[in-house]
Amino acid sequence: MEDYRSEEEQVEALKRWWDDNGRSTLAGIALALVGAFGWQGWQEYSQGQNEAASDLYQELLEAAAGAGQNPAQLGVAERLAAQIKTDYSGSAYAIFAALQAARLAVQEGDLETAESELRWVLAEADSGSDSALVAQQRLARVVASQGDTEGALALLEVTGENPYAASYAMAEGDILLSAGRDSEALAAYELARQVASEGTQVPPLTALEQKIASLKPAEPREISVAVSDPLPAVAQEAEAPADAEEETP
Amino acid sequence: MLQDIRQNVQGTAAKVVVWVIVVSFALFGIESILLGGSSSGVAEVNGEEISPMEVQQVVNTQQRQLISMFGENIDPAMLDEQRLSNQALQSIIGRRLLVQSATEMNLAVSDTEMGRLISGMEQFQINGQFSPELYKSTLAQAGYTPASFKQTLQQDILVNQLRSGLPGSEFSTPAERELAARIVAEQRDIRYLTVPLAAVEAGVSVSDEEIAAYYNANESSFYSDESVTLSYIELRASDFTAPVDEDDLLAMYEQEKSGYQYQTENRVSHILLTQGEDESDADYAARIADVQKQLNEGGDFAALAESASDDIGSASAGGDLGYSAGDAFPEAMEEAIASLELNTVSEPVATDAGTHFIVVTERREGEAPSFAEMRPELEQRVQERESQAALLSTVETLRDLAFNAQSLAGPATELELEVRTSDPVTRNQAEGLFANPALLAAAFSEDVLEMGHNSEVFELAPDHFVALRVEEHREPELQPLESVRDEIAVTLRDQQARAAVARIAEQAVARLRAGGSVEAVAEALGFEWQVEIGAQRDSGMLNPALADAAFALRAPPEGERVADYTMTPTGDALVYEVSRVAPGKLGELPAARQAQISQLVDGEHGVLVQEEFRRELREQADITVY
Repeated sequence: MEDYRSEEEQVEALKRWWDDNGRSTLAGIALALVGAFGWQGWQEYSQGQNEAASDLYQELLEAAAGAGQNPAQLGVAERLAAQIKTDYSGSAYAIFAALQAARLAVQEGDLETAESELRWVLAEADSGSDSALVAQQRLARVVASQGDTEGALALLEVTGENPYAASYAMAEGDILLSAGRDSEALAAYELARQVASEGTQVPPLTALEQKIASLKPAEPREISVAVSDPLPAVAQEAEAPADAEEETP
Repeated sequence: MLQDIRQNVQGTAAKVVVWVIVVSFALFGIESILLGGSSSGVAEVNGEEISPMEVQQVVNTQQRQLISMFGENIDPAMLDEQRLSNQALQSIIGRRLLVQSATEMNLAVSDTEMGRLISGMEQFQINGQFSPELYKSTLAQAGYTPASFKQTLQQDILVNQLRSGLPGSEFSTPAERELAARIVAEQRDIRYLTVPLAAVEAGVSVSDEEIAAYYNANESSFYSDESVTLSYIELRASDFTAPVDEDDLLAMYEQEKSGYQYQTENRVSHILLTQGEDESDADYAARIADVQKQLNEGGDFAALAESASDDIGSASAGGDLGYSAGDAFPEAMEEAIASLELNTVSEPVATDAGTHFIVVTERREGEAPSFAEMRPELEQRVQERESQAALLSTVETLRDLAFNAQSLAGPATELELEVRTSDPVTRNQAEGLFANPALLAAAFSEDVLEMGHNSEVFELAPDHFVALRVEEHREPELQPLESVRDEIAVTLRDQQARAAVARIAEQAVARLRAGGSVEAVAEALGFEWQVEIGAQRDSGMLNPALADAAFALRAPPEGERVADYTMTPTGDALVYEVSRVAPGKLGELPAARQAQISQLVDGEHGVLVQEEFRRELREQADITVY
């Protein structure tokens, strides 16, 4: 421990310390300020980017909603999707825009464009993310619709735990049933139904149920009554007037 | 002190600490250090708290909706806070997860977009224009502040964007639509005949032996319901109606006459002169005299008010102050007003505000209706008030007396009330006074039923009270055969009739399978037959039971027929024959039906994706419910 005998000595010591360390202290403070403001600026910049992408995406959704009736709206939606994909690539909005573009393309019957949009999503999105898993399942369906059953089924094979097991199984069932592989299709549909039934908020899936029913037809029941057996008394009474009517004319 | 700090700062560890503090202040502000870590939430979702208020708000909304759906007589169990708050908490957690996921994906909403949406909402518009006042008042009514509303709306948009991105971008491929159409729009030619239950019912007879046998075999279903016979006191305000004292009515009439709506109202203008702070008394007096002079010379009051009055509020309106019924202005002014002729200027009147010249510009003479005219209304009001007061004081006394008494008769005698006896009341009573859920719950409560106490006095409505006690408790007991004979006869007759219908149906199916046509078989048996060519599963043309059965059946080989029957819930048998089965063809369907099928397919894919996304979020999340 040092001891300072007077104020002057203390001031002197401070001055000395400042001469030795002043420059680096100032530099440190400046660096911290630059860091803090830089970080804030970056935050603001990326927030601004996200908001701009969001605005465009809202416009895209509005245009896409009217695209079914109005071809002009379809054009607007496609242009907006392309703009979001280039200007804000790497954002979730770019992925969503591509998924919307794929939807519009399928709606228009343009499966090639749909395929390339979905492949773009697969390349852009982190593998294993929700968007990637969903896009892969959709890609399989588009590929199947183009006629490549085996390619489609291969896309639906996911190693490890797949949180989208039910949607994958339903897609698989459709592909197999379209290819005439009924028993495999039934197994896939039943898996989809089972996973879906574990959910709390799943409404009845009419089409899925009807597909399963059509793959498991009921056999006509056995009838033990013979044609010659007597009818219950009441019905025979009902029969009599019908016969009588026939005989009257 | 300074010295200690200076010395301690020398150490490397201390420097690190100081810099950590500097940087964290710079980045996060002081609140993150001062306010971190305190917890009062009911649950935590990935480190974010859910506050009790948030849950309460959802519960309140839910309760209001339930009450408006089921009315005031709603079962209190449905409004149970505990049950509702569990549901509310689950839905808040679900939504919170979606918002967090959207935020993690860096989804955002710009202020301009928020503004555009809010100003575009019809409920905030007057004549198509956004009204800030309406906006604020509408929000306040719904329990929002502008900030909390904006936050909710912003979250709605984020969740909506997330939804549109994954499940909302779902589609149906041409192959899937073809496939769905093949099955959903499959056509079958169906001919069928109906064996109505009514045709056999009349001929069915049930013997006493059969009834006795059924009674013995199903004893357990013939126990009577548990019931209680109640004695009760019912109080209504109308029971306390008494004649009204004429003097009371007169007093009330006098009071009513002087009431606000029968007062004379004066519309008043004034010119106010106020002494300025640096104005001498003499100058002030001169100013007053000047105005007085101009008025005396017939100067226009309104014009003078505008130029000379110190009351800025009224000056531009010609001095107009609006109406007074004698209580709006200071006493000195009101006195002057009362004695003024219409459109005559008063002498100067001094009040605390200064000196006024007053004019009455309009006078509405108030005239009260006569006593005879008002009597019926007054009488009714007095009677209602008095009977309600009598009711409430009786109820209070009854509460005290009934709490300690061993019966209702004692308190009733004391208060000169009538004790009545109910018919037997069951636990699921649906009719009469005791269908009221509160009374029913009390009648079967431990306190009243088992301990034999009087119930509390229940308020069913402000003018309707009931207290009860159990006089007789009947446990479920086996009813004698005689009292359930008819019930059994009906059951057995129905069973036998259905069995007879089924036998006829089997006979008809056997005939169809032996080669008979539906027409011939129906005619031979004497029943109606119908045909539906190209029926579809959900076209609504067929009885639902028939549609289910006929489409579930394995399709017959080309050119052949298959016959079977099904029973409807009402007991008729439908004997049918499926002949032609044609898979649906998308291209041949009307456009609307095609669109419907395409929606069906992408809807079901979307539902699954949505559900699986939600489930995934929940499984990955760190959720703690306290």
